[in-house]
Amino acid sequence: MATDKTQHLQQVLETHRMAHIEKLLDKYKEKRQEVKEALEENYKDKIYNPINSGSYAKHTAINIKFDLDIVVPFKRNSFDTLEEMFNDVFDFLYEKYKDVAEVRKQKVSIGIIFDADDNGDEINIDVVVGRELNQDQYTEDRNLNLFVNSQYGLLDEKTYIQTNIQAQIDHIKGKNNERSIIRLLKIWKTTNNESYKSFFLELITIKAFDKESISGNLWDKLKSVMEYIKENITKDNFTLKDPGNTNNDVADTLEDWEKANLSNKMSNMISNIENNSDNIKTYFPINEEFKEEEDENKGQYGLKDASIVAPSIPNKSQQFG
Amino acid sequence: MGFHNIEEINNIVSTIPFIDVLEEFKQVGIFLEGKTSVNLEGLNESLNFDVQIFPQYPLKSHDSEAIKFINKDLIPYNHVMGDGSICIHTLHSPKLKQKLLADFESLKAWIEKYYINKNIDSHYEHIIINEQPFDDIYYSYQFTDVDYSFSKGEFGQVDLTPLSIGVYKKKPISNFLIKSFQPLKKTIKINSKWSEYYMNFEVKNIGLFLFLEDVPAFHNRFAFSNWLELENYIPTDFLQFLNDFQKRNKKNKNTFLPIFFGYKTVENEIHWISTLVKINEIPTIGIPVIDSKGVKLKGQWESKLINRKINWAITRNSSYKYLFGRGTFCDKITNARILIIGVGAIGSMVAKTLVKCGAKNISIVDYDVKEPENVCRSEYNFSNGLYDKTFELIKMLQENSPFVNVNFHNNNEYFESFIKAFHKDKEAKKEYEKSLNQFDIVFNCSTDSDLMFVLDQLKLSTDLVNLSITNHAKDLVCAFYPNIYNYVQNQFINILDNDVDDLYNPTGCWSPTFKASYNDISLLTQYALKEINRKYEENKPKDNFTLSINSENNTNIKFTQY
Amino acid sequence: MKIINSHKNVSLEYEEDLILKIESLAFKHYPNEFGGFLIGYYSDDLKTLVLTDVLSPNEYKSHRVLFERSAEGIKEKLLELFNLNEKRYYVGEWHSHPDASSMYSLTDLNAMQSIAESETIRIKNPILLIVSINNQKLKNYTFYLYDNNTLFEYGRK
Repeated sequence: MATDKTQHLQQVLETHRMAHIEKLLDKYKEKRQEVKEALEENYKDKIYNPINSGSYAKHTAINIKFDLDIVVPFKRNSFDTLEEMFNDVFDFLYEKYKDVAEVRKQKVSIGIIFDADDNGDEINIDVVVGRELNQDQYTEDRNLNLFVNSQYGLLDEKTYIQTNIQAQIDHIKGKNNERSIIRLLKIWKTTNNESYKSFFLELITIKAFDKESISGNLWDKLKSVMEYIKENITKDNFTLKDPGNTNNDVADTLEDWEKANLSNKMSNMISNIENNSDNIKTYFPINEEFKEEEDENKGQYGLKDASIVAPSIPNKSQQFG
Repeated sequence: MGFHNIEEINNIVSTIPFIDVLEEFKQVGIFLEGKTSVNLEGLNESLNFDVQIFPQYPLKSHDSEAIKFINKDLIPYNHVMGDGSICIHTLHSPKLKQKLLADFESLKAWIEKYYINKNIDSHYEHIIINEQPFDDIYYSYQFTDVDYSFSKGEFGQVDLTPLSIGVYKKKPISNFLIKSFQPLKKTIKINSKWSEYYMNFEVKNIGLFLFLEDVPAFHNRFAFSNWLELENYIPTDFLQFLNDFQKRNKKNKNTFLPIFFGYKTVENEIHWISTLVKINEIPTIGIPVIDSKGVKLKGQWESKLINRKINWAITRNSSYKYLFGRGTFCDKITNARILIIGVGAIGSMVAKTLVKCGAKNISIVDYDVKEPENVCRSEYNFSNGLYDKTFELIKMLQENSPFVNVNFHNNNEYFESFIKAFHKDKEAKKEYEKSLNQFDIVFNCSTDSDLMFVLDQLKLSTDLVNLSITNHAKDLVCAFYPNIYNYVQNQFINILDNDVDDLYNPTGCWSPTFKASYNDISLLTQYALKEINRKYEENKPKDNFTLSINSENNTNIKFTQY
Repeated sequence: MKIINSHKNVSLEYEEDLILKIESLAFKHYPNEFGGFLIGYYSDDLKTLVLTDVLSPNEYKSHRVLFERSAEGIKEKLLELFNLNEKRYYVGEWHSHPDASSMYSLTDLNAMQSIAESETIRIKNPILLIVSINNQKLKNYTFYLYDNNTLFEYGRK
């Protein structure tokens, strides 16, 4: 039995929408707000307004694995060193939440995993702590320095990284086609336990749309992006510039052998799906939890959101002949 | 009768530029015999060889060339046999001229390499021993590595365990393993590094050992053949020990006592050779001790070796290195702690192949019993009758290798019922994770979808590999944790042609099984294991794959990497 | 007016006045094409779609055999309609075929496909209305239902 690839992918996207987990998401938002307010109260005029970032802010979130991110921009003169700043925020959050959550230092952020509530839901908030690059410039340029928590104590490892989270968010603004593909690749990554970073998949997808003419139905587009990855990731001069800091090459985060593996994987995926369309179900599975009952609701107009009429907004020009 | 055209042979040999014919070939009994002389650059004077051609020539016989080049003066050189014949091997050719020229070329090559340039081979060759039966029975002793370095002259007792009695060169043979050494002057037992199974064998015989360190052979190649030749190798306290042993065991005077001589070969490796002597025929005599003035000291005797032929028994180095010298899986697999869940057709083949390929530590679990109808497509034996699969398999695996430790894993029902009932319980889940994570590799060959589902939910650090086969063994699906359950389901339901209507229904009310022969299943299983080994050896990502048999015209196996 | 789509066994209702409004819009741009957004609502059982109005694009390009509407500024209008007490929302597209039949073109199908696949469109079966006109009158018009990469025509009862 052949699968209609585009229809399947649409269903994959649909069943992974955040709208299905609105109640859980509300809990997340509530917690995020709480953390935000706690930070604001504690650090007062040492910080600018915390902003939301991460996949939810970028509209690339999927409902099977996500967290909510807050970026806390500190003023240049708030702390002497980035490490001091990082540790101070960690200590504050640790003291505040140690009884109800696991608070841990991550590579560039502080993770708070709240203990499961009565429904078994674990809430996961990531706090990214940054310091403006130049005094009083943040509101204008949005440039931040992040402390890099060196786990391995390597001498040559950088201890800070300059970035611009607002620029990262802006980079994907309005890119609906790209978003669908990014979400699909994230679904692939999550359900197939691939270790590639979401940010990497996001940037390479946007670059693919930028460099190639990508059109057709959803499968055509996904395939074009996968082909772009397959063809380009192993090239010597291939780079993925971090929109938050063009000096960061996100492609550099992969070793050569990882790039070769990724290229192979893309090649296998394309050929296996082309050879047998049912293979698409292995790489891009539907989230069964939110799958609508089949029988194609004969006798009813179809809605993408189970029995709720949500507003439909045409968002781009269309040509008719 | 003549086997060869003598004239043709003489003609061919006379054309070889570096050969002078001293005596033309003529028929002597069934052989052709001639004399030639070789002249080569680098030789001070020409080398003469008696050449003997066997009736089989130019074909080989018993894997030896049917032509001999003999010069007894060359015995001290490498690759010369005890009769002075040069050991040569050339490519097969049924054409007389081609073969003759090749064999003389090969003689030339030997002279250049070993006579003129005195090359030493990088690989070690055992000394040449004429292995004999004793009272018409062969005895063999296999030894392996020990964690001990013997010192020169160290001696003591050897514990032997009987392995089997069989037939060897049409005569009876008694096979033994050397289990341990007990040096006389130390209170330690040096155990051989056989698996627990063999180490648990009872000691039924003993022998004596003496570590010579030096090779008891002429030219490092021809083992001594007379006790007197060992005179400078055997210390007198060992001879004393031998005499004492004889005195203590007078009752068993006709019993054979194996004596092992150890020596160093290459890279500090030890080799043991063995002879058997009857207790009342120990090859020594006592002679009176004489002082410096030539006067016998009263009551003082010492033991001396006597002039007697040594017959050598059979010894083999069966250490891991030699037993698996011809090919194994890569170290990451052979050294891994491996668990196999489900030892039916696929699981028993996986287990046996792993052991044959050098795996050292395997645990198995299965709740099932072997019925007679399981025999035809698994590794199980008919001769054992009805048997718990795990018990029979453990026995079989141990019989296959003295270097594998095989264990039962937990309870037989561990994966069949307990895990399915308790996997939702947090504590139980942790227990299962712990239990599985003590292994490096877990093969799930249960083809049990429920179990795949449950295992995929665990947090595992072990490498979990799942092998399943569709009906008629048309396809094999190999999946790696954590991408097993969904992948296998999709393959079985949507991708592969799994015909579930045509199943084999055994008698009785239980679930039908798929149809496939031993050949069908082992073909795919072996292919899959080869690919798995490659992934480990070359450090390739552990991506799922399928194998599909296509027999439209001829049999093809299609490999699909996911 | 009530017409039926037999493919999906759903119906479509509209007032003649609405067709008159569309006709006059089409004539205004003759001999070029023109079109816009269809507004309406589904019955509670989702069996019937009621068309209530059309919304014209703020920006468009109009040619004899091509019509391109932009989505500029439409979001606000649609959200306004959605927040009415009697919820109204986007249900599809319409455009005219001057001096041509009301059969859809490949461009039309592609546009509908793209619309249905868009993340911001939350209905699975947008409809398409094609109005065939000449310099004198509206010749005829056809409603299509988009489903599964195909357009299915509505027929009269």
